Amino acid sequence: MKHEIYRLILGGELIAASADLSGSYHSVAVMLEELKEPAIILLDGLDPAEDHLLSETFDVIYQLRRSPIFYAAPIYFTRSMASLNPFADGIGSRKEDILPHASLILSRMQNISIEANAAYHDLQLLTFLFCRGDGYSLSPLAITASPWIYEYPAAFLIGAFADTAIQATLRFGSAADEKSFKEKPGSSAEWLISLGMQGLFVTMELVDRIRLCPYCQTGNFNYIDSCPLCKSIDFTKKKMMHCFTCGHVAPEENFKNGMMLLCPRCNTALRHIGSDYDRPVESYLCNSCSERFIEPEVNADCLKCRNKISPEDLAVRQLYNYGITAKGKKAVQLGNINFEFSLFDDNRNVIPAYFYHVADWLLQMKVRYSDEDFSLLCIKIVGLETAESRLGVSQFKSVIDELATRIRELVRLTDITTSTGANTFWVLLPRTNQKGGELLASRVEKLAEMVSLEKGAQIHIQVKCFSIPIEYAKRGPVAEMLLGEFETILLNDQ
Amino acid sequence: MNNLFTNILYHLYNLMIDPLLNADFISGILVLMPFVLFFEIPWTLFILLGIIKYKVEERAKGPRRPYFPTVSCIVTCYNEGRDIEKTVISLLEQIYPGMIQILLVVDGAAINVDTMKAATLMEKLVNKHSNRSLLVLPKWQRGGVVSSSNLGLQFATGQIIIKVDGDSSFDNNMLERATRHFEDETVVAVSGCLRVRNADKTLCAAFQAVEYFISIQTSKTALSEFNMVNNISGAFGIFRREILDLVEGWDAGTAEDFDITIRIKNYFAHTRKKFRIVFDPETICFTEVPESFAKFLKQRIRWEGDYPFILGKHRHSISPHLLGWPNFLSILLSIFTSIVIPGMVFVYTIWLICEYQIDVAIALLSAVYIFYVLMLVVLYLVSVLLLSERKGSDLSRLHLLPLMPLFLFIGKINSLVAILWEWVGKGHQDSSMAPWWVLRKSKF
Repeated sequence: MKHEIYRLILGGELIAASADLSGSYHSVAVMLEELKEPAIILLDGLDPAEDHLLSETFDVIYQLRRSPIFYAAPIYFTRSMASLNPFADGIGSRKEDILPHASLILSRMQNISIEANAAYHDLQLLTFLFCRGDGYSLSPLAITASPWIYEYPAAFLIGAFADTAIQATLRFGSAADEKSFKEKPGSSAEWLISLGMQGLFVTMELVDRIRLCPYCQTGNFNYIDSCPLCKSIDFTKKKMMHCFTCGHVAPEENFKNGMMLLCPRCNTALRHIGSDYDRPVESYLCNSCSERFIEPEVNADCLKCRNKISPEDLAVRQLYNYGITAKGKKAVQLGNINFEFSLFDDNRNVIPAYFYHVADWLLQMKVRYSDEDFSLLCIKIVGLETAESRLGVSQFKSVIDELATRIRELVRLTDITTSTGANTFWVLLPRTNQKGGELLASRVEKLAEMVSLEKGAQIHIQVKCFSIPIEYAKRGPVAEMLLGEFETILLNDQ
Repeated sequence: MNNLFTNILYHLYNLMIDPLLNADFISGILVLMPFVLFFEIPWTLFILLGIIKYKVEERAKGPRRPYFPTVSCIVTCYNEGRDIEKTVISLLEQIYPGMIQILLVVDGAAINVDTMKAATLMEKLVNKHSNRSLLVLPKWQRGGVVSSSNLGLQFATGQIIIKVDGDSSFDNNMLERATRHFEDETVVAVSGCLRVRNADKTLCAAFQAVEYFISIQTSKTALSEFNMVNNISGAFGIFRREILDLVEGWDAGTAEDFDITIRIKNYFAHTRKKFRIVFDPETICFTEVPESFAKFLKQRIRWEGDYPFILGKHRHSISPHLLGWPNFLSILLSIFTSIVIPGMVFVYTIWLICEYQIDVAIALLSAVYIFYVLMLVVLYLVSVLLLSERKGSDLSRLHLLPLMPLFLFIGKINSLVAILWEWVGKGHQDSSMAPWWVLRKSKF
């Protein structure tokens, strides 16, 4: 297929050859209006020495990544833009330099719905990674203006963090739309940590460790030493002296007598360090409360909320490179991640691969010990999207929370759960036969009725109990294949 | 044996009570007398006079004026290792409002890794203090103490240059004392007072502490009073910067301290300007001395052995015409004490033993010895009373005085041997002050 390259021209000298290009734009707004399909975008007319070009370039790339078409598109600079380089996919001015890389990204875009995935920031970021292949990972970049000191460039743009965090410093960006986040994280780094906990991203190399204010979750501190008693920062260093002759210990100034040192107690002239006197310790005297202390207390003074926090109480965050997980990929392909993950207790909600593995293992157990039985419960929740749009985010969330509480009441501690797709959940019930499973299924089905809904919104819960026939055991791991089949059966039942 | 001892005591008794009764003794004393009367007694009186003069003048002096020139301390280091920390810390402890620059010149820094490491660590410590700075100058290949001093001079920025060894440490008023003399324009250098840091370690070190007190703190104070200081110690010399520039630093070869003193004196003799080298008994530097007698004797061979070499080098300039009478006399005096006296004492002892019966000889020697001890006790007590800033410590070594003449005599004989060796065998090229490949090239 043909991959088109469009050029976006900024104020500097142009490098790219016009022959390579399908078109050129002078304004990002016009470009976003005219182009309706993702394409390769080349930012030309750059100059890292020009401050206004740096700021314009960031502005342009920010708008592109915020658009529903280009958030995952391959974007290149024609020349190096110094500190902005991590925000682009690469640097190249000739078609042959960028096309091999860009085609890969575009061809991956073919199989997914770019526009549908633009609905949520989470999905957008997952899509961005998905299109760049398995080896790609997001790396943190130190940005001093960020509340977390570090940002992940792609996430920083897609999640619109530049608006909240750095607007004042970088002087650009439009108002952030908070709708795409349930609760907006403080930085792209915090966002990625939460995505990682949902199993959508996997941590790779550890890059750095930061400390944040436990009150406001920002990392800009002034480390200040102060008096341990009254916390005043106004104190002076006092050198202590120790007279060897009589053992008197006092601050140095008590010994000073003109241009010599004289012990105030025994009147001995202290001439030689090491044989007449020594300095046992350096101490401090607080100028506001007169407290004497050996070591001042060092606190981190949070520059945002001005809380003074002991260094050991600071919140530690590890910064990793992040890659996409199988679950994340699936979310991209299905175009949905939704709120499913809050339905089950995190501890027993596992990734599908592990779920399949346990199911296969239980199947082998069943072959060996006839009294060992297990059932699989497939739950599909229908109508979540419409309910969300009708109820609004906050009300919808409380409905989901209620549903989650009730499901958790039914699910036993020994059960494990997983989610294989949009609003599709599986519960593995060990030591439960088909009959017991069906009983539980009927109870779950009734839950939907108990959830009170207004404004005509409706949530249906479809549940069916399955058990894997013992004959399948000989064929090796079959759970993954069978669960797919069961899901189809459930859909056909509808 | 018992009989011999009784005889000695008998003769000694006679000698003390009534010398004229015994003709043998009179002839013995006649030989002894010129030596004692014409040299030792005047010398002791001269020193006592000098000390009293110093004390009187010191009393008459007003309070110290706020004159605090910038100071550079060139510390020549070799394999002292962490001991250089003592030196640096004691320089850091100086109660001195002026700027102090410390230059640690590490000779053979490539092999003296520990010294180099210690020096680098001190750099951070010192540079934290305002008005104090430390610069480490590594000389990767060994080049000797003279090249270290001259290298330090290249980097020194102070108006006053202090040259010290890497294993010494200072009283905290050292700089305050040393610099005050330079307010007088005629003062070109201050010779500092050396004391023994490890005096309490061994008997040998304690003897040396007494010796240092008498021969440096006491004698040089007196010499200084008559402007006769003839050596600025190599381990502790304080110079006016311009003077070092005029004589172009230190010369290669050994005994560079005595050498530079003579060259400074020559310079002023040539230009017919008034100048002074001051010895200040309160500008104090502590240094480590050999703790065993063997090492002590070896060290003295090295020091004294250099004497004829320097005299040879400067033989044309040693004249009253060039140096002026006080300086010429002081150099004669030092030749006298380090060459003539040990020789005389040695010859006298041999003569005594050959000429007289053994008991008489021993009695005579004992008489001389007791005379020396008494003279020493008087000198020591007066000096401690008037000069010592550590009276308690100095008085604690009083019991060593009866043995001091013997200690000094052994030292003198040792020196004599060294001097003879120098004349015969060019011993100064053995010096451990610089490697042989440097000394071989030296034109002296």
